[in-house]
Amino acid sequence: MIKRMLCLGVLSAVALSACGQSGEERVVNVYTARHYSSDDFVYANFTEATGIEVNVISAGGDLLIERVRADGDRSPADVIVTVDAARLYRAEQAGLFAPTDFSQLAGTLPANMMDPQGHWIAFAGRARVIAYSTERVDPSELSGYEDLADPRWEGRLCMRSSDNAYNQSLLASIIAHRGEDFAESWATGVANNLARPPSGGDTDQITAIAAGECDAALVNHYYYARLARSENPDDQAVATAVDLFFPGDSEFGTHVNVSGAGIAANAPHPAEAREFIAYMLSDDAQQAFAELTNEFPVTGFDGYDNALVRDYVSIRQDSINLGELGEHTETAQRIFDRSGWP
Amino acid sequence: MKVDPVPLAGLAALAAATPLVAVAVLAATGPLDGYLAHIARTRLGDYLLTSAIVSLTAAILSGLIGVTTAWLVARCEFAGRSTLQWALALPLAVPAYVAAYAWLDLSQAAGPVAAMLRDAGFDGVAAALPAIRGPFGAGLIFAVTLYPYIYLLAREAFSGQSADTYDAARTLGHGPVSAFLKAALPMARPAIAAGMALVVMESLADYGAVSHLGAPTLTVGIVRAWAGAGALADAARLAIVLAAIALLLFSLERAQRRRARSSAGSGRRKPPRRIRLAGWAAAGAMAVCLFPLLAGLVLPMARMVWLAFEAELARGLFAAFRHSAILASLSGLFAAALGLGTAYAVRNRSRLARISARVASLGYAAPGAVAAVGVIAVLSFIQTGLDSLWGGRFPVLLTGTVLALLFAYLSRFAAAAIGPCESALERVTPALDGAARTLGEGPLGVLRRVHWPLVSGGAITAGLIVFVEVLKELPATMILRPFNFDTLAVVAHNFAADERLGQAGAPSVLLVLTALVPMIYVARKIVKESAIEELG
Amino acid sequence: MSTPLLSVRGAQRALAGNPVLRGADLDLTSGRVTALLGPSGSGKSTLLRAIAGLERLDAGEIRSGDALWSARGQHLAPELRRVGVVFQDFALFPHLTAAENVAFGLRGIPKPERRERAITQLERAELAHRADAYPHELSGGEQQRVALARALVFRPDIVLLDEPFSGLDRRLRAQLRTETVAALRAAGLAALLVTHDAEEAMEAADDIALMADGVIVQTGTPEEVYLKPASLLAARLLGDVQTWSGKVESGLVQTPLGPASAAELSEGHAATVLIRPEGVDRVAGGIPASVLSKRLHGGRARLLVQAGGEGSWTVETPLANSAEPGQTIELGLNPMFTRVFPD
Repeated sequence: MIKRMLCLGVLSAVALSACGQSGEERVVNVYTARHYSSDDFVYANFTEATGIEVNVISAGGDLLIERVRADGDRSPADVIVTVDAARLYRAEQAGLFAPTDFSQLAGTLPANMMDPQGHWIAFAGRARVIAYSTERVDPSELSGYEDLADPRWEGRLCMRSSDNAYNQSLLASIIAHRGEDFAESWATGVANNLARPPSGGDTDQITAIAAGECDAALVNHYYYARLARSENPDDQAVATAVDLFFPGDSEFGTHVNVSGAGIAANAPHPAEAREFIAYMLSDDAQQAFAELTNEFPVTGFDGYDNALVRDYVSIRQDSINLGELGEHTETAQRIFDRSGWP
Repeated sequence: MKVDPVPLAGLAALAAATPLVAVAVLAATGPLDGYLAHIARTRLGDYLLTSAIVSLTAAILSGLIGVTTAWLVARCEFAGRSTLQWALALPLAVPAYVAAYAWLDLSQAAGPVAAMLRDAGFDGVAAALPAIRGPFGAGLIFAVTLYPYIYLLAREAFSGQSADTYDAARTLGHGPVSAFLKAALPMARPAIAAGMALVVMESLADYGAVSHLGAPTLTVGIVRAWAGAGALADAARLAIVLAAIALLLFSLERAQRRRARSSAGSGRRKPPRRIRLAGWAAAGAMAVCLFPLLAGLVLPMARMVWLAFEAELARGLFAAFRHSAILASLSGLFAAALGLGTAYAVRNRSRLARISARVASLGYAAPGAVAAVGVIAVLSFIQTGLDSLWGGRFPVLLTGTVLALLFAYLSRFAAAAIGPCESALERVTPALDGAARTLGEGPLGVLRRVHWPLVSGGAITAGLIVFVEVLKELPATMILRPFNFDTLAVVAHNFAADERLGQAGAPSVLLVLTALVPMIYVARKIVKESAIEELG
Repeated sequence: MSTPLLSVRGAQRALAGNPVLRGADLDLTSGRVTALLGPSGSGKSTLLRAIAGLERLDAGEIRSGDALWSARGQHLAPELRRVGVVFQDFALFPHLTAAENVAFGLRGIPKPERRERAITQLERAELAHRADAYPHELSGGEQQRVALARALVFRPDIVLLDEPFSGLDRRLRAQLRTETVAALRAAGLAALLVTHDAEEAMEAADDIALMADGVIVQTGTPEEVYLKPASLLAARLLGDVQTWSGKVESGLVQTPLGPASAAELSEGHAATVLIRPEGVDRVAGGIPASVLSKRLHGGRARLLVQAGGEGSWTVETPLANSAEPGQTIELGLNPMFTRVFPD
């Protein structure tokens, strides 16, 4: 009797649920924190190349982690993708990834771009760098991240809120390289130099520099690259008034964060998941990331049409293992909380 | 045949309360890793201060806007009044986060207005242009998008008041303004306070607008405790604090609403006649009424349309629209049914039902992302139960179904559905039942011929309010939706999160347009209905 | 008197644990209007609702002819009783026009005919021109007339009216009362008019049933109940009374305004004398009393006087035969308006 009632429930649930999946097709279920429309293009190419259908749920990394955790061994997730190393670390800590031997895929991938235990592997990079006014700042003035805490920048910096994951991972790397005390005095110094309370996104900080509200900001490189490659004259004007400084030779190099993926511990389609991740590291996908979202290819692939990215990617990057950033993220946030960087 | 609506009320309460209970369980059982103490030493004061500034700014400004426009529309006659009286409710269709994106973009130094001024040589003016950001900016955004709550309630109060009190004040030597402040305003105070409570509650639970504008309220602190520090249990604890504040506001709102009804008095009232304005006075009244409409609806939408034209059109908009419409319509239907059931149960004076109705209103009290985590927890609990009943893997995974989304929406918006149904049912006095029965109708006939015509309006209103809210909802939609199931809000959010405001424009505008259609219906209906009551 | 069309015997009903009806008896007769008069809270409306079938009985019974309508554990649904009811707030359906309201109770008849009959009924109430107006567009008086039309249109044998004039102003009230009673008599049905207004009851009704504390304390024609109240309580329900307590001596009770006859009472028994304001006449050689003040009351004068040095009394006299404050007048009791009750 109970079974019959449950059956009815199932029928109505299936009728209402929009995802009709047939068992014959090969599919891969991707839970991703990436929300770029260009990814649809990559998925379509993947399906064409492999015959594997891609089912996607996109949401914030933390919500994805909560859902996979709650669904437990029922979770349909095959691949979990996040856009921040700290989230990869957190998902790994929650036991959501199946350790995988990525060595065949790794190829030319720098060693710091994958988890030593094979829980996850990066497939695209993004640098957090200094945007500055070409009018009011001489590039020779700039030496690196640490310098931004100097009182000489007082009232000249625009920053995004310290809620932002990329600010947190930058501070995490400063903690890793220079220790907590230094990191705290740095965060406090930067907070004191703010020209205005944080608001808006990275692009808003760049346009604020162009509009003369402040002289420098910390931003992800691809927002600037997007403006620089835009055909819109307003964007062009902003890109002329602002340039990026990559702290390559000074300090610990350019801070890079990644989009990374791992195979879910309870993946119903582990083979397809593996193929999916392999495709993310293929030249086709790497080219799409470089050209459509201005992200850094991670495999050393060079055959893309984006001079700006090619320049940027050649600058020395921090070689810290990205997983280590995750370990310091909570400390980083506590330091931000104390520093007065809203 | 006796229809017993109490189980429906219980269902509504269960739907609304369980996610919050799950959050409470999390708060009570999660690990104590000291984040709470850390946050209390560092940011908590700022969060609370910002919350106070944001919600007070929102309450005061929306109060001023709502009361002034309500008075003008209810008691004065001027060109455009009959259109304005429903149009003034429309900014409710605009999600606060969309208004925040548009207004920050419009007003910042890098925005189009400042650029135009600089091009025209007014650099000084451009530099002095105040950008809409920070706690006061966020308060302003909430004021222009949420003032309709106050406007609608105050307008009803003003047009329901007998003109006698105002006239009496005038004969006792008060000028028009003084008579308004001394006689009309105090009588409308409960209605205004009830509206303000709603404004404060929504602005406290918002995340999208405040985080974009740089106004870190307690809700930002909650999301940060979870997302940044990974302290989900501590985030739940902070959320319980917020829920307690909201609960307090909600009971205040209910108490004030009751008073509003009793102070409206009974018996036959002399309907107020409107003061005819002409010339400058009429132009001024129209300007005052147009301002919030421009600020809350027209300007932000115009900016989004402008941006949408500059950017390439996002793909999949039609599918997103279809998904949004399906979700919103289904939840609207269910919410209306639950709302009606609960209202009937309350009318039958069941104590259980009354408690259920109050509990159902708790759904409003948690920030969306936290409520979504609660829903996930509840669903996984139910799944475990189903799996063990089934004796194996139950064929359907609840998360990622439309059912899960409906559950999440109902838990969040049940209160919005119960309210209109309850007030619609208030028009069905027991005497009407008696009259119909003595005229030869059986119980079902009474339902069909008397109750349904009278409460269908309330039920439709309830359904449409939930329709609009579901269109705007984001966190639960994102995490609980089935595969490949984008909605307009999700598409708009994805582009906005990628800082492609231009491409976010089209889905945002489409979302607001979809919400506007039912909003116009609801607003016109509410206005028409109270016009009937004021004559009766 | 013909046999009653409806009879209530020993009706009991408790609401929320409080006994509201405590054994009420009532008869309604064809062609007669019975007023149910009592203070608020006495159970009038509950009795009306019990007759209409909107309230069940805990004990006692309600019968109409041979049919048992209500008894303990037995209840005929209101829609099967075919009783017309005019509610206190009229209970017009706000979503229906006047004509649709009137036609509501007409069932099993083709639609056009229903409307025709409703219009005819409205014509009788001189409201045909308002047939398509909604309740909120009607004045209070018009609403009342629609409510009455709705209760009469299906030609019930019994009509119940619950304070049907209470929300209206005084002049309109008198006019509507006359109209309503005329309509009820014309229809030849049994009507029950619930009211707390003694004047209304006496003017409109053929019979008055006095109700207090959940029981009917006295029933009779207006004259009977006014002139021969069965108790002090009954007397008070019908108008102003003043009382004097004394002992029976030689078949009389002495009051400051003279002796009252108490022939039925035994000698020396304590008794209360009940005197209506119109029960004191000016008589030459009567008891002298000084006039304290004078007010007009419905075209007659009401004097406040002091007599025998003990307390003040209200005396009603014709205006033409009145007196001014400060004057001394001579008074005597009129036995017709004076009653003596044993304590």
